[in-house]
Amino acid sequence: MKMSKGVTTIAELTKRRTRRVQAKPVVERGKKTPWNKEIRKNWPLYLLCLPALACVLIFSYGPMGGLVMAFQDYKPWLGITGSSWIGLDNFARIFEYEESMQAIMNTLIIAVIKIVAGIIVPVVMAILLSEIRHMGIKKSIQTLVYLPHFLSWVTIAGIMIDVLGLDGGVNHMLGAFGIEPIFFLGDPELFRPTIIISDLWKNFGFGMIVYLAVITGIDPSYYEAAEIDGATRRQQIVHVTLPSMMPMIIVISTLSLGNILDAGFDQIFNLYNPLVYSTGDIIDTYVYRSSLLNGQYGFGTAVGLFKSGISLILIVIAYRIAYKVANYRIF
Amino acid sequence: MLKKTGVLLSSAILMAGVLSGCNLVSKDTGSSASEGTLKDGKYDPPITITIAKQLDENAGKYINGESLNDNVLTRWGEDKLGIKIETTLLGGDAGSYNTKLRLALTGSEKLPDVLPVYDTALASDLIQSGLVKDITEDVKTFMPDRLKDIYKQYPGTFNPVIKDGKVYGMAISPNLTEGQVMLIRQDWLDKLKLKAPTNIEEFEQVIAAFTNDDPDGNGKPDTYGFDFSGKDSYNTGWVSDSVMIFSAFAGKSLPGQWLNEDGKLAYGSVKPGMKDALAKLRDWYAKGYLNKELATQGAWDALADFTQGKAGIIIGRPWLYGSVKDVEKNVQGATIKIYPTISGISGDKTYQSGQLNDGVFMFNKDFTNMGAFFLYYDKLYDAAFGTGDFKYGYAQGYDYDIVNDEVTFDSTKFNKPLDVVQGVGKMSFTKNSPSVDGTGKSFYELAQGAEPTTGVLMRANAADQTMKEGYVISYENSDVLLPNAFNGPPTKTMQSSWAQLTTMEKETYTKIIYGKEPLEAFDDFVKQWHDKGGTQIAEEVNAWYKNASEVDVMSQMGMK
Repeated sequence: MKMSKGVTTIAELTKRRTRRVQAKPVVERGKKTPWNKEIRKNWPLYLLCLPALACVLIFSYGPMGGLVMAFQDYKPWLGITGSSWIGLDNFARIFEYEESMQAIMNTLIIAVIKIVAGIIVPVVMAILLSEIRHMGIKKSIQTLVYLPHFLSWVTIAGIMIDVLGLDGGVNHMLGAFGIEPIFFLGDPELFRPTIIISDLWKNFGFGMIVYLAVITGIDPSYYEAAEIDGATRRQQIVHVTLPSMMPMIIVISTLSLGNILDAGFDQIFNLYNPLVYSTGDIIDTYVYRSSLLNGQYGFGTAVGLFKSGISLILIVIAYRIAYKVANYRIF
Repeated sequence: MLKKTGVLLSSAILMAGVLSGCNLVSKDTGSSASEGTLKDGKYDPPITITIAKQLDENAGKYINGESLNDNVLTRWGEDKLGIKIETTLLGGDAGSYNTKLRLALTGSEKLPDVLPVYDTALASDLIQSGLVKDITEDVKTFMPDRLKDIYKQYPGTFNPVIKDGKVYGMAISPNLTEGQVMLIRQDWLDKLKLKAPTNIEEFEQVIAAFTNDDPDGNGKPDTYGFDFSGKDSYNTGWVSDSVMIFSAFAGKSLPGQWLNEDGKLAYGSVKPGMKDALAKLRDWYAKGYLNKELATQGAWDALADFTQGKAGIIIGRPWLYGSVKDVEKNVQGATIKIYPTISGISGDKTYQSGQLNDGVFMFNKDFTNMGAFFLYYDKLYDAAFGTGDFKYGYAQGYDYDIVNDEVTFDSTKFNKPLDVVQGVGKMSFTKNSPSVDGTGKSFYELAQGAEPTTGVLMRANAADQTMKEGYVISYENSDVLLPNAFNGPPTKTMQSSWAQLTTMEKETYTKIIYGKEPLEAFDDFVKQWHDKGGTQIAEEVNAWYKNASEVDVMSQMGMK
């Protein structure tokens, strides 16, 4: 308790520092250079931006025109101009069937747990890893946990089906302790945990590296000050490391909220089977089976638009909250 | 100054990179309408036919520096017929091929002249788009008689491509393909002094003994009886099939397919017999007689247990022997023997899904050289009939060779040995080499003592003995093959509800077998199936069938 006062000052210091850094360009912007003058002055920079801008326009904004397909009974040969308009029928279809509601629920449950775990685990691991002083061990652990991130789900799914099979390595190990073989991928109760843990295993290395970079960037003088005030290692983590990581944690959490309806098509498609439809069938796999295989692009687009809409709303809300509560701006 | 030039240059390069992706000018793929005249069976000047193609197993395996558009078959076509085949639309797997064809409908690229289509929904889209040709007259005029004789036998294969009395395509080399047989570990049968099962009781005894009586003699309970896959379907139709058990109780009604019952089509999966079959499978699963992981293994993955010597019985087409015979090498003393499938509880044979064709040919409406197409297509049949240029196979050194005056089909014994034979028959527009051998006629003839004098018989004779026996069994039991009575495009309600219904079906079946749901769940499933669109779909399917069987396109095409 004694510590907290001094440490709050440090946290405030950080805030003030960042605010001061952010404040600078605002002052410059205040000068209001006319845009044509500004461009004439810095034209090489603008020129360099142009290809990227063109990319965004062509590949991100251009295809958005196709979203009107969501309101059409789209037929490729009639095109967007010729296909008949059917209003919100495609959207109604999303909610029409029990199976699709089930898929939406599954998606939400799997995605939320994935997002929460995907924030906590990398943060904890990054902090633990940063406490390791031996560089060799630190680097090799870092590389090892980052590695699965580069493998595709098709590959990992193949390995998982083998390893988690009734005759697989995991069950052999459990068997040594006298535990009956467990059907990880065929048990509706166990399917979600299997999916979430394997996803975590594959992807936490990436987040961890981001957080490690943040930790490396923390000014050592904070730690020195904390040490002089008599803070233990644990107190240093809670009152220096964590507050310093907060901005990055907020950014990543806010951005990952956009994935709330993305439970991971590649992963689930390669691992699921009829036994686990009840807990494992997600929006994407459901749409894949029910519409894309039959070329019903209108319905597929409607689902995509629905997902984007929800994501946008959530990101905006999360951003507002982050700004209000943590006084943090991403943009 | 130098700095600015650098900036200019680099952004120009980046820009070029961005824009090269949006090449809006569609390139002309070579006009196919070039008028060549047919002289002595050859077009002069040569003509080009553009085709669409789904990537086949030749990809990446062409020999002698050949490629998709320049290989032994395309060169043969140019030299002998004056017809150049050029693939202008290429798709990877079935899904991406269908997507590419659908996208071509938007007019983003030119539709090739010849379109092999492997999906009924896509075929129906193509017809609706008005971009494919009505070929009724062309078939009548240009199709050679020996091909007409083949197509005459399979009038039902035209169903998916008929609209308003017009024919918009034709099956790709129709032929009733070989049926599935039962592969059993003969050494296990012998060791346990059992006979191959012929009915459901005997089958149960055998798989029980294979599971409990330690047939591999290692003192461990690590074997089981019946290996099949339930991940994608309980009626796979090729390997790791379980349909025999369903048919044993439900007769001609099979899971996942429609049956013509006295002129009315009915869906198999909801028939009462299925419940009895599920009860049996559930009991067997609980007792450990079945593949424990049948729900997670696809048809091909399920082979592994048999190949590793863990399972005693597997069902598949006769060539499956070639894919699992490794067990005879892996496991000391293992031998496989092929038997016919068992008979059902009524004493009748068990039925299975029969395949008449894989896909249909459709043609660009602007394609004018139908005569040239049929000339080429007919020549490809030479290998099946053992006539003309393709007496033994398509190309010496590719799919057969003559070594010391002996014809051989074993690619490792070629003059220039190959790991596997080249699929020359797939190098143009047919996905598989055309066949007129039915379910294994050549093997049957050999078994009856025919001398292997023709190319087809020689090829059959070169197969493994066990496989040959399998084909003979398949030929003798051709009557158990039931093609799906519904082969039209998805009906309106099917488009919106079929995925829900099949999801429910697979889930219910699998859960009942695994004992996760009571057997009574089947009754509930049947009710739900009818309520959630099944009744409507059955009506639509029957309306389609009535329509399809009323039009007489066969006589219009000169095939009566």
